[in-house]
Amino acid sequence: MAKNDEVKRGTFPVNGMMCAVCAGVVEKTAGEVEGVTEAAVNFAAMSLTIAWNPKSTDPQIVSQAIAKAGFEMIVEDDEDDAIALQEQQEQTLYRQMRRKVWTAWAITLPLSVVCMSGLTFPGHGWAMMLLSLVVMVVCGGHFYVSGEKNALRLTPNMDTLVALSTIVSFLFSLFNTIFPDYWHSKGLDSALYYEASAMIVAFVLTGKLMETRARHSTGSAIRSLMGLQPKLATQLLDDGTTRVSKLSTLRPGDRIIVAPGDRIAVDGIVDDGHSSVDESMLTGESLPIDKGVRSVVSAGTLNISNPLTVRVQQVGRNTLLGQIIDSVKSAQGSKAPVQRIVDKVSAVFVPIVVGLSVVTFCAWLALGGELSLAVLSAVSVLVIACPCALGLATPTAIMVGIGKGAQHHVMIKDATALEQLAHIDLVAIDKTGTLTEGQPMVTDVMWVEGQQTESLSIIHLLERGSSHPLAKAICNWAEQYDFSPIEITDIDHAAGLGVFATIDSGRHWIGSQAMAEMMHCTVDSTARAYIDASLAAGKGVVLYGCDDRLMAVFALSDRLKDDAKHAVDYLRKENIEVALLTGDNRLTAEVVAEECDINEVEAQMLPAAKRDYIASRRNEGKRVAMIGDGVNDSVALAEADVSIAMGTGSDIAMNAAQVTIIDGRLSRLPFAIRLSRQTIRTIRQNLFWAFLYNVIGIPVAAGLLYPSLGIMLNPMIASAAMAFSSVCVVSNSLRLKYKK
Amino acid sequence: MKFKTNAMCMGCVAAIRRSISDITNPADWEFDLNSDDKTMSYIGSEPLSDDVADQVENAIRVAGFKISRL
Repeated sequence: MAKNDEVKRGTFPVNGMMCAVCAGVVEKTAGEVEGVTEAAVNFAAMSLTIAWNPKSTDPQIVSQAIAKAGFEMIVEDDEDDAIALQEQQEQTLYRQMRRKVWTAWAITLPLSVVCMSGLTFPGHGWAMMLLSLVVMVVCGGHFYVSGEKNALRLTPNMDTLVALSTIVSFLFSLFNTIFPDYWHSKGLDSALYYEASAMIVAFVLTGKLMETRARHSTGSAIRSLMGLQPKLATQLLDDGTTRVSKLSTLRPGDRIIVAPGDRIAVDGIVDDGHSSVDESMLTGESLPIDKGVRSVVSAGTLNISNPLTVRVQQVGRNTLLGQIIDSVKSAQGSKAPVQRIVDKVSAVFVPIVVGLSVVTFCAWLALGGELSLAVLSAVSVLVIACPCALGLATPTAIMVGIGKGAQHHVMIKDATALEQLAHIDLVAIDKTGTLTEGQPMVTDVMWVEGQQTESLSIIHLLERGSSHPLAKAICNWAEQYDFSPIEITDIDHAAGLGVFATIDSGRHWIGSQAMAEMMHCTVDSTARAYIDASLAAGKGVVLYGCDDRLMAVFALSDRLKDDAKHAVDYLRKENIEVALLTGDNRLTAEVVAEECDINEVEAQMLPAAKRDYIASRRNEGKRVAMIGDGVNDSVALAEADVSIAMGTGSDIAMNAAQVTIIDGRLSRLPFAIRLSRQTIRTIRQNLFWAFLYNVIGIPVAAGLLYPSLGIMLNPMIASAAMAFSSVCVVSNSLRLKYKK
Repeated sequence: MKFKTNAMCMGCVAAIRRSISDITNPADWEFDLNSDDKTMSYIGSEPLSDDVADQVENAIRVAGFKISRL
């Protein structure tokens, strides 16, 4: 079967089916639509799966047919399709480019071997002309379009340099191929430079390919953010029945039911039910929040324990999540493109070279030289001035830098980040999961009546079945001691308070202070002071007791990462400011900040506030790096000059960031900054070698040695110098790998 | 006017009502799902022309249900 006849498949919710006959009707209706090859209703799931030929129909048409039969088939918005289409186009573009790069290298490598070894065979000039022409036109065609555009705008960039140098070398070589004896007859020497054209195109294309790959992955941040937003919601109608509704049909005031394990689709207020909700993607708060009637819930957050009925307040783009998506989009779009070092160099270099060439031409004529000599000199200047060393300078250093980063668990997706990181003035650090472990741990325990092994068994038993992070932390804590596990099956949960079970002597419970009150537990003054002190230190408190007696108090907090202080110290030593940004409360934030000596603390920040903070610091002229791990950091990441994500955090942050620290260790940050500085230094050194070659090559090409020594761009000298400068640049880049 | 249908539940009834809403007022039709024939009867005040009855019958068939005049 041809590829474009491929059948698409999809499953869609259908409303209104109440019995097997309804299901049959829906199935039959869908199956009769032209272009639908298969239709099957899953009555239990209230869904219809169809296979269709995209050429002759689409789900929208099937949906209309089903609507005519009296049922409602829900087809999701086209937005997803549009994004998928865009992604597909980007993919095609990327693959096209990759093919070009491979083709360019496949031709360039043999070409340069032949050229540099000085091998000749009959017709070898023509063969090389054809090969380099293929590389230039097929692989590098777009350089000439863009190079010309920029030259006309008087803003020469890398493309202009590539276009100019390759065209001149090519035309010069072509002339020499057609009239091999022309310069000889004038008593001059010349050579072929086809491989230089091909080599420049191949190298620069490789650099562009790396850039495209980086850009593509930032787009996927928005896609995964949108993945947090459910497309459908279970609407609770006034007559008590439910139906699956498209989000776009929901209005403020409608009610929806959110099952445990589902993401909440809207911003709204809890109408009925009691559950804990994981809001970490919005606030960065690692603990689930208890939600009861009248609590506010946000779209994209995860309902964990019990069903909730939510009254809709905001839908779609108006929700907090919708605003985050919009901000990430606009931050990515508005960020000024970083001007690459090569572009900066080209802007100065191109006019100078062209100027020198003109000066050479005029000088020869003025000095009474022959016209042919003047032309040869002028062209030689152009040819020799655009060596591949200049094209090699940046890409090789960056390739080696990225490779070295990867060996040390620092994944650099965007080469510009490697250039920027060296110049950072301010690092904004997210708290939860970046500076801290992101998981609460038991830090202190106070035993009211002394510790008993039996208590450990009971505590472990009570907390074992719970998925609450505090319970998990206590379980982990208990497991480091020796105790004999006991088996009791009837453990009761008090929603939002804690758990309890009846064991031999009495009712054992573990939970919040509210739980203690419910058990009429008396807390003496020592324990009270301990609890208050722990709370004041920004810790969470869990109580354990039996009947009305308090047995133990656990203090838990999110621990600082081992290497957090070390990393912050390094930054301060390098005169880089450090700011702590967090969605958490001020108290917790300040305790953490104090532990690692951070003076600047911004607490209770919503995602947009983090972005505004970074934007305002950037407006002050500071170059800001943001390092974070959560969905709530993605907007700030997109806004920052350099964005770094923790590989232990959410995919969305990683997609939004240019750099990912795979193992989440903060000490990789100093390494990354050092690496960036070394890379920049290597690039500068490379440019120096490339220019050194020019400083030697250009005067010779211009014919400065001709009057005294009779040397006129000896091809031997030219190619030796070219090879030497390329080798210098490449080996200098490789040296980066072994630097400490 | 009475028809025999294969409607089995209120879902079918709602679907049938929607499928004929362009031709006639769906409220003018009464369903008896307890009867053996699952009947659908006209209870409107205006007399029903044969032409409209045919259209109703067709629309329901197009919607995928079985229907025959009693």
